[in-house]
Amino acid sequence: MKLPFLPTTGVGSFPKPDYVTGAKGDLDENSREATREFIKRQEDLDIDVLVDGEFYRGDMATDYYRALGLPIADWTRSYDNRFWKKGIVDRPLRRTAPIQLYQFEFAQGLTEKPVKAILTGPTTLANWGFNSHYESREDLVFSWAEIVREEAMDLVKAGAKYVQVDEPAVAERYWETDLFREGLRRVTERLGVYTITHVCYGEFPLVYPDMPKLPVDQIDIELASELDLGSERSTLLQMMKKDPLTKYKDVAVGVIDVRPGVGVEDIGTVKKRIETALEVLAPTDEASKRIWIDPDCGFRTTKNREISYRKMEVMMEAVRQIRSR
Amino acid sequence: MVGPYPRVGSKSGDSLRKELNKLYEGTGDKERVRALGKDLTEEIVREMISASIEMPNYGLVDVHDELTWPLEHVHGVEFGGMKKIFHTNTHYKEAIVVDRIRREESLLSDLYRAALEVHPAVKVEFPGPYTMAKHSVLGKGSPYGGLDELAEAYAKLFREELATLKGVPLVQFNEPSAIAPGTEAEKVRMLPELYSSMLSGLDVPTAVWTFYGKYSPEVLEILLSLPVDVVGLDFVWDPEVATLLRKLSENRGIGIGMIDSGDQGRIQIEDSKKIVAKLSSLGDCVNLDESFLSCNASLEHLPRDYARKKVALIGEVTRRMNK
Repeated sequence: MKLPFLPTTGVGSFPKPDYVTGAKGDLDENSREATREFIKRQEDLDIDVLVDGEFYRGDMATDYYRALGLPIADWTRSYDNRFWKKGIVDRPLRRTAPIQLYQFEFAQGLTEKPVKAILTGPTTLANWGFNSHYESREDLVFSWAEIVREEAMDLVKAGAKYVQVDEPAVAERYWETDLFREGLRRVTERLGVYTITHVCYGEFPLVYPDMPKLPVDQIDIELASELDLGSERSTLLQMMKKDPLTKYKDVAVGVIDVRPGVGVEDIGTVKKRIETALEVLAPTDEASKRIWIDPDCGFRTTKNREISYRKMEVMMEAVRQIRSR
Repeated sequence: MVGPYPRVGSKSGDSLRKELNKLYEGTGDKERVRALGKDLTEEIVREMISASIEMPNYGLVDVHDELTWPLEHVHGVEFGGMKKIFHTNTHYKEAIVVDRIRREESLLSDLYRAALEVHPAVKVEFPGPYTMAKHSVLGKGSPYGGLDELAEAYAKLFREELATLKGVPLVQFNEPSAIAPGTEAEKVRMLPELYSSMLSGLDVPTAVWTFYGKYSPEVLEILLSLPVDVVGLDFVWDPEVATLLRKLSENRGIGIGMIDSGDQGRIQIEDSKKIVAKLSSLGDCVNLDESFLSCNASLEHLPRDYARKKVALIGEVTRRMNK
């Protein structure tokens, strides 16, 4: 599929409508309906590579634990008044059935445009739960990698052209980047499709030097706040300017702040972010062809559906204006 | 105790969570949130006291995160993007310093006062000035030349606060950044002077607690030279710190962070007999009579039911040791 300059996409999730309740990974009729509506809205906005909105998801890590029949602990806090339930690896990991295959098939069946198949990565799955079974971090991460790999292969067989492995935990244990990279490699190696890893909420300067070596075609990175800081004050942007990631990979640049309470950006702000990203990451025309545009993360945390839609509209309008120059 | 205690997992905690959600959605009531926070604080302090914890904290159930919250009471600071707290999947909002900072009101929550009414031994707890500076950025308008200068400015804020805290049993400053992986001794050499300028002439017992990392001999020596009454060390991340302590022959009282707070994803409850044995083996390098046993870091990495078991474990081990 031929993509335009600055291809646009989503990261994955979207706030659930009120009628979707109690999601825990299964695709019920309500989450099907929400997916239909969301796919249509993205088509109307002319987004290039679509996402399914993840309306069936309870939590990006815990759903996997649940799908594998592992126990789930009570709430722990993520920030302020946000909590989630971590799963517990208390036995060898084994996948007995697909986890997200039917969800992908359903979404892709609704549109001619490509829909990304989005998986949670092995390091994130290992870090975002408890482990009382595996003795070493390697055993834990690689066991998860095997599960995610099996899932990825099923998705590719089902027609997925873009496979995104979400690894928001990449910068958490930055001294383990070799382990992280090897876990990711075990998932993406020879999949035969375009592979992406999405990273967010991290101290990226700590892992930036390792990013060129990640075994994926594209790195999708949260950047809106850093782009607002500008390359004079953002350490990460300074590193990017010195050694642009576009030398090695396609880069999807997060230009929409998805945090709750952050209002809808004006088009000028988003254009400025994109221009800064181009200045920092794309010193040549060739490099600029490697840049994609998307929000910082899934809109799930934004919570408000209308605000999320408006943010997507602003992103698309900003991209259109820059494309038309 | 170290840092925030799990907020949910009891009736009052769940009520607070729901009321806070309502508040954020614009339908909640601030006074009700305050009242529920007070109920939960009292419940947590009672839980710790009944488990024989001798110096509990107040649970910090009103803070957004464990790193930058005092700056919400300070002029000259805005909050930016959300970042990970070290290696964990918990988050903080990066503080952006945009003006000369100024303490506008007490940094300490009303909930601390509520906790003191339950028990007089409840300690005050803050993120330390060095760690707060490491989790801040200098924005446009900042008059500070660098993060070291900012740490000094934060220390001045705390000095003002400490001057108002007469009679509290202990003020603990958490300085995980002092030992975070990759931290070199050179970077923390400023700590003794920073703490001296912050604490000199004040009549308040103080502690510095470190966690989420390992100790080089140089960093440990710097930490033990700080002008505070207690230095807390993380024996979960770095069991080998005992070997370093032996070499230093300090034989002083320390904070022994030996109960796993679950920050690295382990959920098991330790065998109390094994902890007693480990603690006893420290007798040749630590003055156990003047030391505190603690979890290594905040128990909010665990669900409340597990946190409760960890608190009970600390109490049980202490009782066994006292026998």
